[in-house]
Amino acid sequence: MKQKTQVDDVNRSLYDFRYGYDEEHYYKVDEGLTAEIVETISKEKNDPEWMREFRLKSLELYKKATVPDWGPSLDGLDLDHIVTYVRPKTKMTANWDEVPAEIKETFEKLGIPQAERESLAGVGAQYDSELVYHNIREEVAAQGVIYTDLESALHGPYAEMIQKHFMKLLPPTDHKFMALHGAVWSGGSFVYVPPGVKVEIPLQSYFRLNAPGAGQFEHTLIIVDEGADLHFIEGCSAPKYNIANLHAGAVELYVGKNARLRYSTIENWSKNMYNLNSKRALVEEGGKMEFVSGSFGSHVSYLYPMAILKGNGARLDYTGITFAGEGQELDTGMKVAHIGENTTSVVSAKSISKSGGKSVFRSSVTVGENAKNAKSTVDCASLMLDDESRSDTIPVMDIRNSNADVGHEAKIGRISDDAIFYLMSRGMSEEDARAMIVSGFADNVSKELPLEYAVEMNNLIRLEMVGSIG
Amino acid sequence: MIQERELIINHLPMKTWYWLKINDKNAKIAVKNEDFPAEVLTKGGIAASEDESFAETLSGIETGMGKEFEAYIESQLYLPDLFVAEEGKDAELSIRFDYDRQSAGVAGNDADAADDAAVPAKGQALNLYHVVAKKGSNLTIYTDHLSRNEGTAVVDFRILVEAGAKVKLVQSHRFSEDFRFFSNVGVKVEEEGSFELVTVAFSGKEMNLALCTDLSGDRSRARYDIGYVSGNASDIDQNYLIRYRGKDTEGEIFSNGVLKGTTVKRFRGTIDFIRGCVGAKGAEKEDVLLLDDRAVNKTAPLILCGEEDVEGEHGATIGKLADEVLFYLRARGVSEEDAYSLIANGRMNSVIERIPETDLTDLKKELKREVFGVDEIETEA
Repeated sequence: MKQKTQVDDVNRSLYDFRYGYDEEHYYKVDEGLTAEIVETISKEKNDPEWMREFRLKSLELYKKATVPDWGPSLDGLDLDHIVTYVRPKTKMTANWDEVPAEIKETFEKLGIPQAERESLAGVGAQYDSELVYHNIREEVAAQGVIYTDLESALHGPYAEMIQKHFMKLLPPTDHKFMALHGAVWSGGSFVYVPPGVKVEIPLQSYFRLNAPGAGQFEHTLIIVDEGADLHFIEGCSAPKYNIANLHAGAVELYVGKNARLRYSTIENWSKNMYNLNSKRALVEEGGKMEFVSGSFGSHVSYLYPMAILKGNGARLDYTGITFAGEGQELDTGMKVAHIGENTTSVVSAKSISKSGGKSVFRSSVTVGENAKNAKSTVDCASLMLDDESRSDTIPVMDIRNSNADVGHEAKIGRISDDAIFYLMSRGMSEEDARAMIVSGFADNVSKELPLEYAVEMNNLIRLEMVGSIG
Repeated sequence: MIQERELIINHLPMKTWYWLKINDKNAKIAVKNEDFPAEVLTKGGIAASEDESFAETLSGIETGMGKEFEAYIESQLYLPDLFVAEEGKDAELSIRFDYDRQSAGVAGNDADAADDAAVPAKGQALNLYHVVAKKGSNLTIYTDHLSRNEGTAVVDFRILVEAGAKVKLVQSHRFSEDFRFFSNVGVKVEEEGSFELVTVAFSGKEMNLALCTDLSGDRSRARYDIGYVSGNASDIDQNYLIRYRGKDTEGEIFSNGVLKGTTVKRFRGTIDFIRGCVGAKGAEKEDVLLLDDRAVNKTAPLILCGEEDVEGEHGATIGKLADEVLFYLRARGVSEEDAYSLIANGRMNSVIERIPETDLTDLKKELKREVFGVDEIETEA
């Protein structure tokens, strides 16, 4: 008789602390979205004129655009009542001691300062719509690396560079939530790595959304110049509220000639979150973009990092894992566009579905007419842990070049009885055997994640997903 | 009377990004609302029937082209031709559609209709068939669609495979660069029944090919083998599905294509494990050779899964020949062009080889001639 082994949900109680959200200590705009609200946000942020106009144009696009009907339902998202801008009544600081005690306590519980002390080159922490803390190690700054909040950078020496790149990869015309982002974006980071500079230790940003019914629309802009090298880590979590929350951030990544950028993300939003984040990279000749993505939290996710392999010899490596538990519908995947010659993409995606969770792997590989000798391999594997859950795979390949070499493989299934038998015949209990197999299934992805840098990732992947079986 | 209709067909069972232009196809159909006089031959335990007791079941079978197309078929003014294979018997059915024929005189249709439908060069044809393979029967259906001229044809099959029965549907589509074709099939397979598709397609201006098999009975089986060579400017739109409903069901989709010139091809292949299909196994594989940089290949191989105890996999290779294959052939004095031709022909031949030997029709021999240009090719079955 087959026996089922219980695999617990990821325990989010660790992240579900709120410290009594008190409206008196926060500034927030009215619910919904009007030109007046956008003007207010723009004024609050002391936007340059071009940005104010950009926001208003984005608002018009937002009003015209329709909600996507091809993915998970967004019916629970009441856009008329989402608060687009909430900020703590505090100024951003580079001194951790000056961050208000309540916010500091939240981040300390998440281990951010600890992670910084141990192994990060710089940390930016965003609380609701605003960055509350930003710091970069002296030796990294001395290399000429810029890591600051985007809004300060708009008024500094890099203002022109930002104007040149801001929402060029992810224009507000892309989809409704990018238009929304263009109108109300707030917070986020700007990173510039000068030519030839290799940042030895990762930079990290951390997003946290505490206000109920609020949206977070941070914008991250990273430019890694010719021959430079950077690893950037993004972690997200939010406490649980009953009112639906929305995260519609944007991440624009420019990878210069022969440069390398690794962008690692752990998304661990609480289960009322609609995570509609967009990430896109432009990779120049010989450049390499690496996405490492773990999706664990949120109620609904639409998350498909994209790389545009523009330069000859450009490359994308994507490694992702999605864990969909009870009440979750995680629609994740990737997109890659091969434009230059001899471009390469290697994609490895895994998903686990349990307790009625639904995971979807969605991808597109496009190979253009001039992408001679483009190579692409996409490999995705899905594990079903019970028959209440769903796991769907929706890959599309659009190939317009006879010299391309495109391969795709996908597998779906449950834990094989043979594998269990093999391990049990060597003295393991069934529970341990199942635990080992699930651990092994997730491990080739989690090995890519910078676990040693972020306490949150340790908690999530090691303790909850692997250790709680049996 | 010629009707022109615009229909959305070949829906992807789950939508994806619109900009990929693969969620469905907007098709224009202009055909005579009447039966084309096909040449029908039978052998063994099968006969035309007017038994209406199957009509509701057959009309309700899900097809590959989708509900809008099914409603269009339903709205036609005449009833489908029904063939029933007898219980426990071997049977063969051959239906040949030579759309270039100038005169009629064919079996299976009344003379008036045949005269009226003597199809001119710019012919339009619409044919509907219902087939029932009764328990334990073993039926092979050969369908041959042929035209070297301009025209449009629609053919719609609904097939019920009863418990323990076997049905193999052979489809041959040989068209000019000016012919538009719609083939829509829906199959329901009951307990321990099996359905097999063999499709061999050449050229055509527009080929819309769709098939959905519902493996409703426990231990039922389905297998599709599809091979096609495009014309120089074809539009090929395919939608193949297998729904696994019964326990221990098995189904596979294999597709081999060669694209030439400015052809645009969309392949949608879906294996759908529905909750309760415990022990089901499914696989799909698509290989496409692109012979021209101007050709566009779109592939969407979906796995949908609502059941834990299943095994599903899909794979696709698209583009050029593998370097090691090319090297092997070049090292033996084969030019690159000939190497591509050799491999393309070999892939088509592997599909043709799945057509059974029969004295009812010369179709297999004709298809080999189409590929190799000669009558007899020694191959291993």
